[in-house]
Amino acid sequence: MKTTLSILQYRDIIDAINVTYGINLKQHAMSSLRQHLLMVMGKSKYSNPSLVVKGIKEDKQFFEQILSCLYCEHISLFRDPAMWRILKSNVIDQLPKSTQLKVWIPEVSQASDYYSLLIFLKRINALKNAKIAITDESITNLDKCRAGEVDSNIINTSESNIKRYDATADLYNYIKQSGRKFYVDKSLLKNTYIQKGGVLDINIPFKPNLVLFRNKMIYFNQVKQQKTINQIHKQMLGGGFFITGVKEDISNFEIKGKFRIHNKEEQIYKRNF
Amino acid sequence: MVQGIKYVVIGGSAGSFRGITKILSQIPVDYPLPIILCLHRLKHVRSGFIEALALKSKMPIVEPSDKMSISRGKIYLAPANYHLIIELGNNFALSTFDNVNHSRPAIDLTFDSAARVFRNKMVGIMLSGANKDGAKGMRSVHINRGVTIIQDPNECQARTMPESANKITKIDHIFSIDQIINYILKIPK
Amino acid sequence: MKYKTLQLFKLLSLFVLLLTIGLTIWAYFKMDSLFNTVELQGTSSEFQLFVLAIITGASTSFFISWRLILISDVANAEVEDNIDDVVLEKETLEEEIKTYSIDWKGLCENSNLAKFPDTDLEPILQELCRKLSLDLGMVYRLNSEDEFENVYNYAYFSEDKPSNFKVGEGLHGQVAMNKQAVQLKEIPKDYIKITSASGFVLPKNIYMIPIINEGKTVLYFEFADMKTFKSNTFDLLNEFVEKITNKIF
Repeated sequence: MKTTLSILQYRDIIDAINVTYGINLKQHAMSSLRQHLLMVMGKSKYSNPSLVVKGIKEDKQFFEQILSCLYCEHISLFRDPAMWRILKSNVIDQLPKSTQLKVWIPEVSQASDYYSLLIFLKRINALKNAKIAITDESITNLDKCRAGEVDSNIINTSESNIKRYDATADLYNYIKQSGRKFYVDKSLLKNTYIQKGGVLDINIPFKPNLVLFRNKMIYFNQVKQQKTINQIHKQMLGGGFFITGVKEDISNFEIKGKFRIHNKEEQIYKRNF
Repeated sequence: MVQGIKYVVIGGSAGSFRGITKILSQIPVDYPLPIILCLHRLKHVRSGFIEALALKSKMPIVEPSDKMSISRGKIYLAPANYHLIIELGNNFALSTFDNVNHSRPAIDLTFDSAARVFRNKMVGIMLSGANKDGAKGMRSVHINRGVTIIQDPNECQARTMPESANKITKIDHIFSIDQIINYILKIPK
Repeated sequence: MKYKTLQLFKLLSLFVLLLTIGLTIWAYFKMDSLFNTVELQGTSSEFQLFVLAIITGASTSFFISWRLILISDVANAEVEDNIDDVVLEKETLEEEIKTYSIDWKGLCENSNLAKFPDTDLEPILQELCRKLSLDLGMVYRLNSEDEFENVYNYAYFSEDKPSNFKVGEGLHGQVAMNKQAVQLKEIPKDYIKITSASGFVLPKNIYMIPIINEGKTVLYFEFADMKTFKSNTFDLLNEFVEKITNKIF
């Protein structure tokens, strides 16, 4: 019998997480979060909804599983290869070579955009001088990023995506297999600053001029989406670039004076002063 | 029964393109209800599909962005490489959740979420397709007292999809494309 | 002789000089005990020879040390002269190197220019900066309150919006007042900085370009770069002023 989660059960779970760990998921989009919870429950010993609240309170590992899957993406590297091409041609190539890229990737999650960024910067010889910060609520996700671990399920699609980005690129120049697991070349991981925390309550040690936050706000409700936009605006340097998912149109929100569209198709925004 | 229907949700895969374009070509520009299309499509092809559909359609076709409101008189097409979910509050939500039935967008997720939100105010229409995606979604539509219609499998290029739905849930009507068109046109009247 | 060796030599000479003077003064004050030690009579020939020896020794070492200092200073000067020669030679060589060229038709062909001030000048600013290898570009427009307000930027990243300025206020205000384009090579320390891999750095050149309409500066362009060599950047920017003024006014 398929497990379901009623609205009351869902709300109890969210309250338990808030009370026990101080993480407020009330402003996440209910439909997606419910789906993620069901998925995590299905893979754990807490498949019965009545056990989940207890599991959250007593089993930190179970909670960490939920947290690591908040943006359960299974997104391959170089998703939307056109965005990476436009980022290169319309943003990076337009800047002077002296410009230092300071990048922030909030809610790094399964790190597909993080690893894509490392490879992208390496290919254009901009990685050495770049500063990169990745943040996430989940220690599991951050540890995986430290190790450069890549989800093996996404390798095949990533291979074809990187070719779509640049026909001369070969994923295996940057990713190696070790047993059944895949890892990004360790030399790419050196410049990264890693910090635990959610996008709304974190302060990274530098002001970024590029923020990559693709397909994460789709998991927030509209209230949290607006708060996130405000927060990212506050954290960034004026003149910097903010990139969202291709179907995350922030111009529907209150962004007047905060951001303006730099490239509509790939949802690249420029932060106003 | 067409009374009270306020939303038309259509799912399709292999072989459904011709059926969809025929339906869209017959819907008048002032058709008052929103039509939501969840069609299996290539993940990395973002443009071209909507333009191809728009050639035949009199109504405007839109790929919704996340949290876009559902408005009357528009056709919404699930964007490539995102699941299209209907949320309480009458808006769309997108997801990059893993493939469901090897598909993203998955018809099951669209139908299931639409059924929970629209309940008895929706009609779910399943067209030709080569896998079982959408069958569970149609069951959800039926459980929530929406109307369930499948394309006549004898007319389909690939009959798996409508037949799978028919196997696991009660289907209110098995129609040809022309009958589906007549049904849709009758709803607002 | 290398510059550092010369400096070392100079220091050594000074040290010897000071030592000689010090020893002489010490010997003078310790003369009595010295005589007692060597058992000399006041006016004996040995005594006279001894005193003479001290004086001669002191004078000679003083003279030699001083001469060495003078020689090392002259040598330094020669080395510095050579360095200047090398720099001048390098500059002379590089003066011939960088000539940029711009397709004005392509750059200013934007038909929207006629709709100024509604025109977006950012693409033109960007293109110009790239063609001339400029590291920073900013555009200010005179607003209704008679202040120059920042409207477009290229490669400018900062927490704060660039401040408005009035005609006559600050360096840029003076340029706007004088209505004459200026190239600055000596940049004040608290002026604009370019963001680079080593942090924020002072540029090597700033180009301050006013755009005049009906006798008044209405637009102000400011560019910065790190070029240490001479180029035709400033000339081309002046040409740009002419082209854009004709297009938008």
